[in-house]
Amino acid sequence: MTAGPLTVPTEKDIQKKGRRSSRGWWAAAAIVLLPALIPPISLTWQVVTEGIGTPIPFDRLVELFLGTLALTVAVTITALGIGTATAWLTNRTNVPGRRLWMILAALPLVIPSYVAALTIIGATGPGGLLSTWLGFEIPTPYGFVGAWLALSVFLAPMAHLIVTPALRMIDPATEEAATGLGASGARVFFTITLRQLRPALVSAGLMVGLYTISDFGAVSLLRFDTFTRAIFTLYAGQIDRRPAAALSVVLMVLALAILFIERRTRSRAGYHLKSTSRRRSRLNLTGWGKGATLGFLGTFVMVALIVPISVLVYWLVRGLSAGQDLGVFWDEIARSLSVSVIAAVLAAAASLPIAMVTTWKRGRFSNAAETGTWAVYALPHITVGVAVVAFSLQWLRPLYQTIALLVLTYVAMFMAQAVSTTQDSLRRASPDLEDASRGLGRGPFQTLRRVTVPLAGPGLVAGSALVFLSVMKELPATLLLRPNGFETLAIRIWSSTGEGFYTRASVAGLALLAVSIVPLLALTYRDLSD
Amino acid sequence: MSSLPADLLSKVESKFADRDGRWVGTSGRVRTFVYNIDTTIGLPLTIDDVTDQRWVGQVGVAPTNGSFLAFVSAMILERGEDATLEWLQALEANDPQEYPKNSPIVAAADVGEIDGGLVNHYYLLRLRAEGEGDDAENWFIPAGDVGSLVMPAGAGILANTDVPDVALQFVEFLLSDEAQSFFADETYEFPLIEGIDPAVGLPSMDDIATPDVDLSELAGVLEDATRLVAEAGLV
Repeated sequence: MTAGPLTVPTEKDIQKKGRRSSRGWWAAAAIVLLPALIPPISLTWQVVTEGIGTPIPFDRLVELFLGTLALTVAVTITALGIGTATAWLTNRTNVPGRRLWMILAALPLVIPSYVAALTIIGATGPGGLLSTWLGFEIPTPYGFVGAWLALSVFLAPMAHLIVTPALRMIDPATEEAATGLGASGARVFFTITLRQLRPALVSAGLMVGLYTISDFGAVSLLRFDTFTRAIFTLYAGQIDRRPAAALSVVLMVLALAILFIERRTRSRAGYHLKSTSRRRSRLNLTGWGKGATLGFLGTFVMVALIVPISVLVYWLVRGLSAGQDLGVFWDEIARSLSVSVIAAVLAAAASLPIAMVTTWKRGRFSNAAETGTWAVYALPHITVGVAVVAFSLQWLRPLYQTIALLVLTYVAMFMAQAVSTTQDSLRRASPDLEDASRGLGRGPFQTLRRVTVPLAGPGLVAGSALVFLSVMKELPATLLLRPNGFETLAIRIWSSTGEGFYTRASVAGLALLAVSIVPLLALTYRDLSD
Repeated sequence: MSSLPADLLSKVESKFADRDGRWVGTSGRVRTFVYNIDTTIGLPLTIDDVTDQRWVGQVGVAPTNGSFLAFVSAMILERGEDATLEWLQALEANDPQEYPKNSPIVAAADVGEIDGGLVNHYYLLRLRAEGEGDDAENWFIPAGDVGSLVMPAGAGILANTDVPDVALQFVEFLLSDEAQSFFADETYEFPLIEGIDPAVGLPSMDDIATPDVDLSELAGVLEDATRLVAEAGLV
């Protein structure tokens, strides 16, 4: 038996094949990016061609700018602080009930910001649930404090979810070496752990910060003036759409400025971490440390989870005992679930080529691609909705008011989350692995299936879960783009509270929480394994 | 819009239907001053009293809400633009508490966060159906000004509809006893046909001093209303 001729690929072959396959990925990235570019471009085009209408007074602009910036910075810092703390405490210490805390710390992410704000109002003030429990009145925190509190608490889980996998990828050897050389626990955390967490913290910071810019629910109900609140007011109160569009462009510029600063400060050093199978010893908490940890986690879960759920349950019980009917929104649950699942899967699929090409090579296109996904993510959802309505009426008439367009818009709005988590996963793997697979004769699809997707897997799962949760909660764009009669849970909650039907709102709110828990468990499942 | 048949239009009082028969009112919503019964002493006798010093920081409004804008539109028809702007500026000078919608105003008045607010009448009844709202009450401003404006919800038929018969049947249904009772007892609006009473706890519409505003002209000044609200600094 003679062996066939064995051809050893030369380095040139590898490069050539690698380049050919990468060209396909660049094209794929450009195509999936298109929907994300429609809102920013059509908006800018509208402002350029139609003008800005009545100009907004300069001092008003300054006021909005400072308010938005202050809230964004405060929320980002607080949410990252809380999220990193919960991630570290539930992964690196032996706090009693560690796995339970790990899930509980992530759960508040399923609560939409408008429900969070409503429940804060319902819990505080004269006659509020929390005021009643405690026996003295907690004033309702309207304005900056309320918006800051609501958004920080309910976005902290985003940081928790992004920091947790990064924390687990850190090779314990460095930390152990530092400890061995006599560094204190705090010193190890601040000089070693935090530094290695930096890329994850930057992703989480962008995701939290730009979400804050786009949020309407919390700032409107808690009455703090930001760009997004002003944009909603302009759209709602005026027939002339131009000032709102102009203000949206200003907001987009603010988001781009944040991205620019992030890029300038981003560490240039690549980091290909290998996942480690070494078991890490957990910090043994005793006495005061254990008490303080439990106190911190308990307070967070109390404020972020128990209080809002209690307010919803209280509304439900109050309404039922006053004779309201209990109707479960099965149709709404089915609709919310189906569009969220489809959008989540599509967003994850779309994020893969973008994440691949942006991780491979930093250049003008990859910078633009990444910026594009974040720019649309930072826009107020009403602005995205209006831009897509205008665009589809002119260019995609058959798609107007279809579920297809609605889902496409969701994908565009939230793709940034999936791109970011997938990038995080891919950065940890050496790109040589893909080159090697191609060079060794595997086809592009086999390489995708056997190498890239497994490498990107954790990021794709995390990204699609984040997108799922975002779509479940999404309201303004859904209102504008849905087919007639396509009521989702989020719409039910909003319209019921607006019309004063609190029992219905609480049923829909609790249903939203219940349904959202499933992907969240999927998200934390891997982390629970040890 | 196509014209509705005369027998349908005549089911409601003529002021609750379009002059040219393009729409007919199907239920009535009345603007009201909702107030906390424990903290509020002395109620506004006219809509101008609401801008009195006594109410500094104590009045809730939803300046972007459609019903508030309809109220401002009616004031423009009643008093003209200049006087309306003056009223809005006086309101703004009094540090009103701004809310995104009506129902949080009613809830805030119920718990005493504010003394009162300008809303539609039915939100308080809905709050009571949820088991709250016992500390708040609706006050229909008795001067016969726009403070007690009646805003009918209405229905009409598009001229280019493919199904004019079905559309007509639907509008007829909205004015049937069944639908009118539903509006009265489930959404707490005022029924507009003879023989159906409003929900328990509401006065008869005849006992409310409603202003004499031509509702057919309301939509024509809506844009002016939004402009004035912005000019006064309320949004």
